[in-house]
Amino acid sequence: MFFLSWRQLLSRKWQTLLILLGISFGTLLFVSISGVQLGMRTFMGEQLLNNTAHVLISGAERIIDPDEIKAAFYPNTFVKWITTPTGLREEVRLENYAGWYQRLSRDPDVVDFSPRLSTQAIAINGKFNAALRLIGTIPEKHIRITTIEKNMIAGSFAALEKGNNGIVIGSGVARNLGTKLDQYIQLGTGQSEQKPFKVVGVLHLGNKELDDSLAFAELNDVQVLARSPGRVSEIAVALFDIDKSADVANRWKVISKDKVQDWQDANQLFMEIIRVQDFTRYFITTAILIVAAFGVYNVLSIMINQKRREIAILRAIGYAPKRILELILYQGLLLGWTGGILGIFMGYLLCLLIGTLEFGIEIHGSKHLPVSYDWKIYATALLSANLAAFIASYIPAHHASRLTPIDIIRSE
Amino acid sequence: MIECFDVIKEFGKPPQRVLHGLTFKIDRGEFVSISGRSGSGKSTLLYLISTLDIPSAGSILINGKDITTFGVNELHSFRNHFVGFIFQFHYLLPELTALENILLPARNLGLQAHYQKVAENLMDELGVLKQLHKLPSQLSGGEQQRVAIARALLLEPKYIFADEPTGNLDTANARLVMSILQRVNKEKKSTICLVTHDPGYSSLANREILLVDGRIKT
Repeated sequence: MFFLSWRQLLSRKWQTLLILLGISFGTLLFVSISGVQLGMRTFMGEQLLNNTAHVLISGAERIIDPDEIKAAFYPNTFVKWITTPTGLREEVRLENYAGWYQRLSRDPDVVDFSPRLSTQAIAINGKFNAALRLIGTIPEKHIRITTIEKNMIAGSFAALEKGNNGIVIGSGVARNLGTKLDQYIQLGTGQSEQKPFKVVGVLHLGNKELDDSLAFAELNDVQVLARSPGRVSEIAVALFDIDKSADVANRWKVISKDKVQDWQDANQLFMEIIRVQDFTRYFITTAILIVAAFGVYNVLSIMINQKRREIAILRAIGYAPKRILELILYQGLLLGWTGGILGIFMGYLLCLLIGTLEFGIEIHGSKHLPVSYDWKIYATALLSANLAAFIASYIPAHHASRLTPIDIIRSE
Repeated sequence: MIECFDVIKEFGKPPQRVLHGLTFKIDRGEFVSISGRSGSGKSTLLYLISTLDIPSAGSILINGKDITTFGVNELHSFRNHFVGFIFQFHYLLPELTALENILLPARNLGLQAHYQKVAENLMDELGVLKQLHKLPSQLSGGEQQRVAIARALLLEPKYIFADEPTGNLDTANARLVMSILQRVNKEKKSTICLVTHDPGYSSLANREILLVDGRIKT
């Protein structure tokens, strides 16, 4: 029946072409919108993951409770606080780093993990200074669990070495301090005397807030600077499957007092934006595909009305109802496949074109918009086009298969 | 052999009886004409004995088997293998060439390549070989009907049912069609049931079943 379906489609060139264009246009829009949205999402996700991790384990923040202080120091006494005690009870630290180290080393879901000490610091270069969020990390582990090396615009992240007092600073920090690679800046945390650190790398994340404040140094160097030897404030964990982040985080929460956050939980606003983007994308595409599906339905319904005689003769010479169903369904699927393939091809070309357009922001050292070419976008687009065409053609196909030759002949 | 026992056919609500208890036999290899005036029920009878329709009452047996007991697949397989239809209007598929139209019954069995030569021979016999790759819209009325006849004869069916096959043709083409049917009946021993209101063509058959107001006039 494929042969006959093909010939019937070819005999109605204009109708076929218009429906193909409808399906192609829907598929093209899905591919291009998804490409741009997922490109941006991947880029933003990478930035977030550079700053956080798939799962981030940090010390729980314990806040001073005035009632607890009253009970401990002034039991059975009425207390009226002139200034109510507030703030953290102690510096944030992991309860049991060694325990986490053993657990994470054995966990089959974990690619690698990187202990960190995150602290505030002031960087000074001559008359200029900048407030930093300084992260002490183990460079080789940090490189394994993030894509940070891709964001280096000068030097290398791997150049951070224990005891060398090297530092990687954000491009905004470098600009504000007027410093560059291999120059020295002074670092202090307010609790210690300033120490000279050599700039071994400059990174650019494309996020002004981060580029103006973020800096990385080797974990031991930061512990010495902060006068907190052995202290780790957080562990960044990379998983084999990022989609398992929430499940893994929930599993670990049960066994520790430490704060365990998966990257989606830590970036709820970002995830909310993604959800709205996804909804918009699917809404637009579904609307277009529904219009195209109605086109398929209309064309096939009209065709069946016009071809009643032919259906009658096919039934009369032995073509069973199932074969008539195939005849119409194949036409719908041919339209779906051809329109879908045409649409994803045109969508791919459009994505390539969008990828060459220049935008005001700089991303990964380029001013071009990041576009995703994930195969799942193309597979989803093709399947959606075919599903729409299949549903739209099944109804008229079923109707045609129920026509009996005698009813048609009598009505002629 | 086709056997009809007290066949009744009614249409509509309230039911209007078109055929009134017909009982007759058509032997294997017979050339039978079903004739009568317009509205006498001859086409209705043809559609019943050709399995396109089922009777309201009574039974029709083909080779001893009641046609109402045929399942969907059995019915279509029977039509495909053993029945050839020729209608007044050729009912050719307009998007297929003459050859492709003729090969339609074979295509349903996946044997189009096997029957290609048979189809060409038939076209040659019927004088439309030159129209092999032409679309129906490029053929004359007579040529279209001859292509439709070739389609009906392709699988050498045991039964050929022809409903006014000459109704839309000029005299020369009508005579040609009738001579083809006679030849097939003689050479291939096919059973032929021909519906016609033309006494001239009716007389070419071995036997005539004359219908008057849904009853057989003997």
